[in-house]
Amino acid sequence: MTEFVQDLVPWVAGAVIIMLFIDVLLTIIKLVRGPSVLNRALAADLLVSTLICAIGAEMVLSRHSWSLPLLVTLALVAFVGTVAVSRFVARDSDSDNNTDGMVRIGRDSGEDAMTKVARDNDGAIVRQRAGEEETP
Amino acid sequence: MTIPVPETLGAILDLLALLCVLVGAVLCLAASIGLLRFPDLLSRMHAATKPQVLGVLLIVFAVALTMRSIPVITLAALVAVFQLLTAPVASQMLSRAAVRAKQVSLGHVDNDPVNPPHPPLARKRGKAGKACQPGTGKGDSPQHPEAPGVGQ
Repeated sequence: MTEFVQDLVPWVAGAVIIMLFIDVLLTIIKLVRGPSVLNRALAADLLVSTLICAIGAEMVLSRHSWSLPLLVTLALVAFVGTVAVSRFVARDSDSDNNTDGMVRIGRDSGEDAMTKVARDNDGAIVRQRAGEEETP
Repeated sequence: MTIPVPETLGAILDLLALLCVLVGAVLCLAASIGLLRFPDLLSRMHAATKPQVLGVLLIVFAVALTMRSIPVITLAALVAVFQLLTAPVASQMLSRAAVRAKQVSLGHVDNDPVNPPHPPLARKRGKAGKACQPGTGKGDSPQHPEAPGVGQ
C-alpha cells in the first residue's frame, strides 16, 4: 500500500505541474489583457491563490513543511492588495459619478453622515445638516 | 510532535492528500478558464472564488494530512481561517467598487441603492403619502429631474 502511494506521487506531481502551469499562463494572459483595473485586480488575486495552491502542492508532494509561514503571509497579502485596489478605484471614480441621479456624501468635502444630500427640483445638489430645516 | 498512525492508515491518508491536491489543481485550472471565458466581472468573480476558498482549503487539508503533526495542523488551520475570513471581504469590496464605477449592469436588480433605475420605486422609498406630491418632497430627494411630476 505504501509503495503504491509512493509510486503514485510522480504522476500526481506531473499532472499538478501541468495544470498549474496552464492556469498561471491563462491568468497572466487575463492580467495583461483585462479590460479594466478591477479585472486585473481579480486576476492578480487568482494568481496569488494559484501560488498558494502551488506551494501547498509542492509541500505535499515532497513531504516537507517549512513553507507553511509563506502560505500564511500570502493569504494575508492577497487580501490587502485586493482591498487597496478596490478602494483606489472607488475613490478615483467618485468625482464623475455625481452626475446622473447618484448623490453621495463625499469624505473630503466637509460633510459627514448627518448631512443630507439631495437634489432639488432644478437638479441642483442641496446639502442640509440634520436638525436645520430648510426655509422654503 | 508527529501523531503516530498505523502504516495502512498512513498510506490511506497520503492517498487522500494526493487526491485533494489533484482536485485543488483542477479547481485552479477551471477558475482560470472561467476568468478568460466569462463575459463580465461578476461572473468572473464567481469563477475565481472556487480556488480562493475550496482550492486553498483542499490543499491546506492535504498538507495537514501528509505531515500529521500538531504545529503543521495549527498553521494549516490558521491559513484556512485567514482565507475564509478575507476572501468574502475582498470579493465584496471588489464588487462594490465595480458597481460604483458602473462596470456591471444591474438590469435585473429591482432595488439598486447605488444607481436607482426606476424613478417611481426610488421616490416611493421616502415618506409615504407626502412624498409623492411634486415640489414638496425634500425628504424623498427627487433624484431624477426628468421624472414625471417633479419640477412643475
